[in-house]
Amino acid sequence: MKNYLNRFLFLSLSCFTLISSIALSSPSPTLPSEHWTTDELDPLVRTAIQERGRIKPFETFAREAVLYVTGKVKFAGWNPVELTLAWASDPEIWKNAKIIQIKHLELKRTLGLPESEVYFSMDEIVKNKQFLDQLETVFRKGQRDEALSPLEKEVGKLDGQISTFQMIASGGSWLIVPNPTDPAASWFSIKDIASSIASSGEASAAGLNPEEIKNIATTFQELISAYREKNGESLRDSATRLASNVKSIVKDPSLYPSQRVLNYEVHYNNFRPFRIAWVLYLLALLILIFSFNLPWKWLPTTGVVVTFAAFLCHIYGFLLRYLISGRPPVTNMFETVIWVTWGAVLFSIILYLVYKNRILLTASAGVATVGLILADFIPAVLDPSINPLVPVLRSNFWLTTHVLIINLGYAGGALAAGLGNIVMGRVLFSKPSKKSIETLSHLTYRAMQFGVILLTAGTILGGIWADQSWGRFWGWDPKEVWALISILVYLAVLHGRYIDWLKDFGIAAGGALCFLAIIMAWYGVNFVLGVGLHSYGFGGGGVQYVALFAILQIFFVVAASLKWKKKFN
Amino acid sequence: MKKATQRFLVALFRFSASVELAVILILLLAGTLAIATFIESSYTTKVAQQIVYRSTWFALLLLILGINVAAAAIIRYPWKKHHIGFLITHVGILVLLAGSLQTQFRGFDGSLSLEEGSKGNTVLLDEMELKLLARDQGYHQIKKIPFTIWSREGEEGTKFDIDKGFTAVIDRYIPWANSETMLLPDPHGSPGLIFRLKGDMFDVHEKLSLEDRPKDEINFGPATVSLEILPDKSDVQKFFASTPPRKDNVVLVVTFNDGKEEKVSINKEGFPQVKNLSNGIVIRILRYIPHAIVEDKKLVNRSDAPVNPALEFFLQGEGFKEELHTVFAKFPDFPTLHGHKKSERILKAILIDNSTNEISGNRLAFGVGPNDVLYFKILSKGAVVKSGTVVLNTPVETTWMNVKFSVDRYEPKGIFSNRYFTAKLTPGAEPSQSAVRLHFTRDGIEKNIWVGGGTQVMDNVDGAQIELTYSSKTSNLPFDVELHDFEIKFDPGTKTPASFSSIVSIPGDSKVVNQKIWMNHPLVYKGYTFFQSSYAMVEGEPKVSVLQVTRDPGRILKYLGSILICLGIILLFWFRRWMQKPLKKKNKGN
Repeated sequence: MKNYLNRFLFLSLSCFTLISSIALSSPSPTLPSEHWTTDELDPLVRTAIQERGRIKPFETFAREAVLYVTGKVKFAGWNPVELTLAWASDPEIWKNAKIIQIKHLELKRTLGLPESEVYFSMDEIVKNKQFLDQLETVFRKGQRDEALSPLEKEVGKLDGQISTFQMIASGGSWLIVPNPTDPAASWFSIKDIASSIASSGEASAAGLNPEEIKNIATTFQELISAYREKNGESLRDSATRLASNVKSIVKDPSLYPSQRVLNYEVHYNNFRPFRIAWVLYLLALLILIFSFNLPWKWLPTTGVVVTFAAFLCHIYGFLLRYLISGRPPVTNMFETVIWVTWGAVLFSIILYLVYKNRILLTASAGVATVGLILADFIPAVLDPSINPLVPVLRSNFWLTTHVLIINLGYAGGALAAGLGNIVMGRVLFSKPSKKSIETLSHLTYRAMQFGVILLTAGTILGGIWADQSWGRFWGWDPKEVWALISILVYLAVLHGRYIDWLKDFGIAAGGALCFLAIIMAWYGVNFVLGVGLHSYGFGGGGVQYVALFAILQIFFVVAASLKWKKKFN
Repeated sequence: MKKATQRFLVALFRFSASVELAVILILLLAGTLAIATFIESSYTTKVAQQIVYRSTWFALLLLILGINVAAAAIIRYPWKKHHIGFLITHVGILVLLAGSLQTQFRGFDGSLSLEEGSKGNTVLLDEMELKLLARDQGYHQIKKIPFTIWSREGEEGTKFDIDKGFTAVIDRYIPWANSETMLLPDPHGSPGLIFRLKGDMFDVHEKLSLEDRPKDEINFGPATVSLEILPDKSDVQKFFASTPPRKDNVVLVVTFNDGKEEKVSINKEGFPQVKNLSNGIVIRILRYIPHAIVEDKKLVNRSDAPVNPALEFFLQGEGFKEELHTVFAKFPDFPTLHGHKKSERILKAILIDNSTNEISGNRLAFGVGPNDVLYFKILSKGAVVKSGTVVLNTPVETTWMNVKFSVDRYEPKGIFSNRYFTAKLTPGAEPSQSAVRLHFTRDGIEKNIWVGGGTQVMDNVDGAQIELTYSSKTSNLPFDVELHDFEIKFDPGTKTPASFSSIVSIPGDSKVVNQKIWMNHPLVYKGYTFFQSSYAMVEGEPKVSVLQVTRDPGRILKYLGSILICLGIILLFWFRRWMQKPLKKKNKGN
């Protein structure tokens, strides 16, 4: 027993160091200039740009680019839009500024860079002989479609960071000038516009008239000068004119991306509904936990109200994302984490309305807090950006039915796991009555029922979609197989309950453990196995943390079972 | 005795209907499946399918589960009201399993590859079959070769009766096989050799054979290696004589509708070139593209090396609309007019570009002289730099970049044969194909011949010509499918495909004309369903669309089973109380 506890302590300590190392920020380097704008750039913020196959507000582009280059959205306190403008207005100075983040130790060692530093300038990297050699290898391997080593992947990423910076500085990625006749075709960048003035080239050929080109180029120059001179009035004025200039390029104004949707996205970027939601969930969690121990009568009601508030905020964020992307937002790991945690709260609310037991909300607030914090803090694994869909997913009907339902199945499992873990925790750390364990187990069982029916329905709907799209109902694809395994393990628990192999404690333990199968189906197939037809969701990163979680979960249940056996049987 | 048997049967039935068994089976299945996904992750999907999902023992496991599900339902007879949910769920599972069985045994699943502008009905299936052809004996037979994960040995009823006293038996089977080429002397054979080229960056063994051709040639890019017969002394002299390097020449051969042929030689520089033909037609050549690739639906040149030569020209003349043709030297059958239209004047246009063959003028040539002596010569930039008689297994310096060659084996009368051995499965690598060995007996003479998956072997047994083909089974649809166009659309401003689609027709049926098949939108015709499954696009070649063709008689059962399962679970969970449940624990087993 002590042994388990020791190990548990050790693991939670390492978990703690891990989280704190993520949270600790690295010191900001000195930069060539200071940020000075307040809201003068607002018109630019809301201007449409075409990037990675999607039309988005310029702000989203700037946030993603700055995050990629510097590792932070608000690098050294800069507004990302202002930072990109600063790069474009003074490329020569920023070339020498230490703004490119390199965290990978082996990479720094290979390139002979000081390991203690995190930020480097573009100039010192492109002059680095080792970097150029490595890059050549990466390029050659890329041409031959060979797999890259982890170090080479980092070299590729660094090259991406440099070119992102360069493209912004040169105006090459400022694709804000729409194609006049067909906004779905390639847009033109500020650099295209400039070079088309130098030699009446490609942009004019595509139907832009020279007058418009000149207008945009001049306005952009004015924007740059206004920024350099720190003239707020003139900056706002030129940004406004630039926005209307590019808009008037499109012959049919209804074809230009809707300003309303662009505004939604800017609002989504700045309001951060999911961050507010987790803060509220965390607050609700604390209040609810205390409400079981403290005598104040207002605590329970407040806890419930705050949970509801968090839930509404959660829905609001989900709706915004739906409006922005025009499809149910359940197409990558980030979006499904949001949806699954939402579903867990939804089920807890339904069950709460039936059973009036606050422990349900406590469990789901805990699940939602963990899920949303993860989604908020590890963008490398849970990518929050909105991207176009792969062909097979472009069916809103199936996306809505199959994906939403199967993920609600995950949500049922998540709630059951939350409740199950409360039982484990109470057995380990307090002295619960048999009655209270019985109640909690029954709730776990109810949550599991939600999980099983939705998992089954979702899997079957997936089969029907697969039949429509791939021509077979079932093909033993890893994603299908793990969905089936998840159903099977829950079925084993339900049948085990029927023949009394599992009693109250066993159900709760099953609820906690079976969720590991769901994690494998949900995350593992895409991030660990990486084979099969569901390849559009594949990604990397975070495997060791998820594995750590799984081990902790197993130890937690084993420790609780040992204590349960000793104390109650 | 009888009573004991009866008691045993009852006990057995009780056991097979028990929930205890169910829990064990469920966990066993879950564990097996989990392991299978890890096998798939490290050794490709194909291996996982072969080892687990399509294996007999896995089918058996599912069958036992099915029995358990069925017995559990039967043992509770006479059923009560509260059994409804449970019954519906269990019947649903059985119906679903029955549906999969139906699919497995009576379904049809294959892939149909079509080139743009062509039609076809040959569908490639997943099973393997062995064809044996003995022309002189008038014998042609096909046998199915089922996949097993274990090697098979011994004679097991797979006998080919070719002629009187002439039989063949499949006596070995290797599921994953590697092969090694051997050259064996054979009185009925023809000249062949195995040579080795070794440089700083490479070391290859290759074969040259004159079995079915007068001259064999392998192009390695920087150099070409060839083998030919030099029947008499004068040929040997010619072989050693230094021939001047061949001039680059590009010729356009146009065949007109009246059968007349015109050859037009083309200068690689200075366009447009105008050629007036004798029949009054004018060919205006726009450009010669040595290394043509398609970019953004436009034909562009990538380099000056004649990798994929193409020519664009206008055909002009009285009485017809001017036509723009594009011809590819490497793809003479590819339609030259855009959109597969027929030309009004010409049947065919072919581009002959000799510069493709002699990119660098480096050549290693072998010649079989009179008395079966093997000679060699080395050409560098078109000129003979070294020549002589070949000594086996002795490396000879070529003059190119430290490359040495040697001849491992040479037979003036020989036959190539492959020896197969079990290959080790390596994680991440595509598994090798299976291989089978045939044991031939002809009037007391015995011979073993191996044939690997996807290959064809021509050999002889005591002079009787044998042709073996071991490949995927094909099946022909009762109708043709014609592919007009294959299209890829991209996300705005990127190279990421947004959708793939094929435009197809069924020739002879006016109901299916220019129908579009794309993601989530299959074509259903006469019980067959066609899905867009994949495509192949090689620079300069016609696009190929691959359609998945299925016919699934089990579909209805699967859908029905699915509905029953969902309905059943809902009844089980939420309407139990409403159906007045007796306590769960009391009714187990009896």
